Amino acid sequence: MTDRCVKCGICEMVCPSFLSALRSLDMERSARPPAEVVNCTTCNRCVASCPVGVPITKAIERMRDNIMTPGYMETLDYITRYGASVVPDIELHVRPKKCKVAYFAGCLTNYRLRKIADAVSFTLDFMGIEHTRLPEVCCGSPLNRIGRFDQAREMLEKNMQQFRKLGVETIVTSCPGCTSTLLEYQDEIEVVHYLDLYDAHDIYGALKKEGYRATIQYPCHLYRNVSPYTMKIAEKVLRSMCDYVPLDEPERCCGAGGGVRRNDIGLARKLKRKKVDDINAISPDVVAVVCPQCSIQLSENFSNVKDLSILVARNLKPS
Amino acid sequence: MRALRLECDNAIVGGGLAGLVAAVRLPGKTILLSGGLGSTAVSSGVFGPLGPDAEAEAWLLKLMDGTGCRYVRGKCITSSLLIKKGLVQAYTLYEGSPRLISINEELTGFENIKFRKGRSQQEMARILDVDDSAIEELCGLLSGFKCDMAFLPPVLGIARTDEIRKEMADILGFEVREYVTAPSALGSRLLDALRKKAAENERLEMLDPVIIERIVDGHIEGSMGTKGKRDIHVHSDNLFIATGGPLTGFKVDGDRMFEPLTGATVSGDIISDLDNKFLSDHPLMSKGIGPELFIHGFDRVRVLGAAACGFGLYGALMSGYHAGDGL
Repeated sequence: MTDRCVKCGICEMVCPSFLSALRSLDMERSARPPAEVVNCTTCNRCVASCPVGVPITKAIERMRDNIMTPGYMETLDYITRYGASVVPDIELHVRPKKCKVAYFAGCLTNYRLRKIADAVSFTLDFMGIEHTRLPEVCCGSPLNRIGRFDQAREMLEKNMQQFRKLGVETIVTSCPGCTSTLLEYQDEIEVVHYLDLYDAHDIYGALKKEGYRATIQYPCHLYRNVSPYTMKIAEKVLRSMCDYVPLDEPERCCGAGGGVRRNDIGLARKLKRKKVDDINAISPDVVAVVCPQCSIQLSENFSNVKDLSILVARNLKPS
Repeated sequence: MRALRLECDNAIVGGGLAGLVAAVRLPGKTILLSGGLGSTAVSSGVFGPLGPDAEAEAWLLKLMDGTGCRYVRGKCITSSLLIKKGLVQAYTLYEGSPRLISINEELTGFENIKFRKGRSQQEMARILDVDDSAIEELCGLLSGFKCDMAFLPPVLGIARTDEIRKEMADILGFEVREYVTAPSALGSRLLDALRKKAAENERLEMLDPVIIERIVDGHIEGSMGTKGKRDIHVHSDNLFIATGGPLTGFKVDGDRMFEPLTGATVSGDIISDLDNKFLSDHPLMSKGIGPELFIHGFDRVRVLGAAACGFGLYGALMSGYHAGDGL
């Protein structure tokens, strides 16, 4: 696939991190991949921008298969040991039932940001969508990001067995990484993000306008990998609830993804510098996010970072 | 999941210069579908020679005023010391007797500094965007140059180019501008500024990345996202094809060169005009398929930019500017 590369250098200009995709691809077949490939946040802006459609990120992920860093080791260790990409702080209490719709929350939501899962479940109930939860294991996304594709497939299959057993026909997601992964690596079951459902159920009419100003950071793996239209929905939702102020370059990666935050926290913080400046420039009351990674990354700098699902659920709840 | 269905007055396929100019200007609800960047992003950003369309020129100058990519009428200088006249990015305006400084390459007429060897100029531009220590390092290399103004290659950032210049001028005590090369960050700055302008248009919905697979009976069909797993159908009254030249748009099939969505062939003798050698020597260059097409199901189909008239920013500006004429 990389034979198609015309060396135009667009990938070098759109990258938010410290690497040259062009140089990395040139060395794809060399015995030792360039060390800079660990800096890729897998935001896929290069892939979306490439004039000839080279799957750059996939090639970079493949090169990472030969790399072991403390961060990668951590991911592999947690997933092997706990079936989750982070150390679970609780035992997941869900009551799986036979149901056509399942909500798949993902590790970071289940074990670090549970309010997102509560908010999504509440809103699904509000819209009359009966759904089940399940004792999830990691979707495999963190493994794919570091080139461990086979191990990722094993995780996916463990989840698939549960979906099949429960008769699930539609998986509802909230995490961009899970959404992109479940869509890319299986075709058996339909995958929809909660924003798709909010739009299909015309949730806008049920939302009350409130007085705060909010902006939104686009989640790379949902916006760019799955559907740019999801952010049109998100913006429409925000306009229905508050005064929406657009961010300069909302599509620019926050710097946390692709294992970068775990692997090199210094780099992750460096990469979000422009994002922090851009948010400060408009000083919103709320920084809306649609991704647990963005949430954790930006919460270091701002106390008003809120997942959109939580903003919606709060808005819908009778005061 | 069921395909996303959208309706609009105007659908534009292609988010380069011509598509974006049309998107900024067209009246009515407009949807722009873009499947990746193309020639605009790797261009020198120079519009010329001037003259054929003074109205479009004036419009562009006004549009870009206040963006991070201001334009002026004037001259710029290339890496081979050629002086080009036209609409040039303000940061490339060539005047006075500046010091000309190249980075990591020996160029006749240029003094040379060594900075981040092994990096392309496009990569340097992006490094300066995110790394303050790189700005300091570059200033350190330039501090010995006594002058009123220096010209560097286009490496002074992409998204933060205004700030970077200001910071450098403060440190150095003289202004740093850029000479013109392509591919370079110049095209990328133009495209970013245009995208931001287009995003201000409330009648416009820009969807990117969307790969269009076919156009049938008043519908445009394609898939969204880099994974291509979400289908999209757009129905519109008017269709604007701005898919670009051979880099992104045209396909070559034997002795035929055609626009893949419409099947419209490039006029002329492909074998003699656009043989494989020509295409490999000039990957961005082509003839166009002309401005008007008939495709069943649309009120009007117009072709813009390189797809219509071949290589060149000026032609793309003109066709984008006039996209809505008479509709």
